[in-house]
Amino acid sequence: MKRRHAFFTYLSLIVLASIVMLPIAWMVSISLRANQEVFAMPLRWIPEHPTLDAFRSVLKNPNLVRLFVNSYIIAIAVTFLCILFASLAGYGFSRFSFKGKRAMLLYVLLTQMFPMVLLSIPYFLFITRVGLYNTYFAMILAYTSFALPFSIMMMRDFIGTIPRELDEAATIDGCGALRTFFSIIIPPSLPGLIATGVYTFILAWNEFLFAVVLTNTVNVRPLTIGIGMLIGEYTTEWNQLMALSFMASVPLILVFLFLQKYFLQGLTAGSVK
Amino acid sequence: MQRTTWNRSTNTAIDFFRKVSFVLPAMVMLVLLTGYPLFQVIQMSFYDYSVKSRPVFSGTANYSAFLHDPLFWNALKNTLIFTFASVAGGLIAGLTLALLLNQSINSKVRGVFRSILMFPWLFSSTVVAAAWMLILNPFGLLNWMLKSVGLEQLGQTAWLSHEQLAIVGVIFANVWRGFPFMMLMLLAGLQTISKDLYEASDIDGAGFFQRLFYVTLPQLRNILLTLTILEIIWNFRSFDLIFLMTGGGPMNATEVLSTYVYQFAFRTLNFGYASATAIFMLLVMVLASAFYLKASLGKESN
Repeated sequence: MKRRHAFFTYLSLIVLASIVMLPIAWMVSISLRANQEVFAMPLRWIPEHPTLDAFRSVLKNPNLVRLFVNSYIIAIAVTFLCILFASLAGYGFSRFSFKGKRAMLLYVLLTQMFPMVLLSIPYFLFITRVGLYNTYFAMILAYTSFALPFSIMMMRDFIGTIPRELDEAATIDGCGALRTFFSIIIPPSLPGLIATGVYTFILAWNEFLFAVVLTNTVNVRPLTIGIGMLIGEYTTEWNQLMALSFMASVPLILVFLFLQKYFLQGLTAGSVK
Repeated sequence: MQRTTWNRSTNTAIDFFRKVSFVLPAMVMLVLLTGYPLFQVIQMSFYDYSVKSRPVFSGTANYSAFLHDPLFWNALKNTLIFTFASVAGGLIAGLTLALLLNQSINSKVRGVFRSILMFPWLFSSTVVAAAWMLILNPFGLLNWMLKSVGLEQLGQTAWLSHEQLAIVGVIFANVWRGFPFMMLMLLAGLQTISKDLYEASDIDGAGFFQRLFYVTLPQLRNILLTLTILEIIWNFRSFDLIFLMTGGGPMNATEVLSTYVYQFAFRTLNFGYASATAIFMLLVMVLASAFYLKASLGKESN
């Protein structure tokens, strides 16, 4: 009975996971063929003449390579900013009670609800007025605005799981708040920091709307826009589009696989109570 | 927080500053980045504000204008359909997979499946859009699969340019991308449920569905609630996927509020009108999530 039960669990998992993976497998399959083979009937999963040509043409295009560099610059900067601000705020919110704390928390929660398209209007007007259109700086600021609220909540929840006795002991030993924060709170909250970092990195790497609104040249535009433009421009070159999509997704999958232990722990820290 | 009583009166100001200084950088940043822009949008929504002319105060004209636009109501309807179907679909898929992963199976195997099933969540909307546009193409994978199981007629459909089916295609892609997060949260919730409850229900002779409805779901109540509200918020404002896959078409069949606002802000350059509609979106979201806000802040008091 037990073994039959386990068998059905595995079977259902394999079937469902295969269905979920289908679009990804198809994406990879298309990226490995010449363009005239994309819709060749009957469709086949393994390309008849597998080739890396699509990847080569993507890598040979300096504009497309530029998109990768832009995405890394923006995502890393946003991640750094969010980790810095969110860990400090998370500690403050989790450990101290002070006047106005509820109002501040309410504000953080509220900002999580802002429709992005709402913020994009004043951002566009402000950024063009002060001459920051087409700059990394403008995009990093805009991205931080929507990644920060959730980061703060994540860090607050995570630091909340660290026993208070630790910092009370440090206070008794004469540590100041800042010292307590860096030497007592930061080390055990590393998983939470990594989780927040991975989360903001994914968010920033995948952002689309602000990038459309705040830029119009390939010099600063991130990958998401590059792929978006390809969709509009030449949906005929499906193999290249899929090759680029695949290459855009690999960094995230690697980050996730390497850091998932921390990521999953940190993401679910506060939600399960 | 214990406070030492003897220096309470002299040090309250310093004490307050010391405590608040940790949250201050983030709060200042947030207020500058979201508070001020919000204020601006509210202001703009009461003006005739476009690039062509100087802003003129117009009272609530923008608000009554969009309320009288049938396309606005169409966008609202589509937004609600999109949100409801995405959240429901994601919850069903997420819960099903979370329940499967929570069975007593080898923990390594569970880990592998959990990672694989998280993959769709990692893809950007542009990639998701591209992949699904390829699949939903008239000559694409879906139609080929439909044909090979004998559904010749259905296998001819141009999914994304079909007036009724386009939204179904977009919802599919959206559920595919969205369910992993729900699965992850629900799995985390499932793992906190005490085994005793299941043993007790086994002794009482409960079947699968009885256990699901009388033990599992009630225990997941809080997390289900939080998750549902968060997902409603995220899907209600979603933009990228629809914008990329259909651009709101065909014939406005997939136009949602976000794309509607975008059209007026960045194509028509009618910022006042777009602002008013965006404010409407925000109001709906805040109202819908008042309960979540209350619950989240309630945690503060204990």
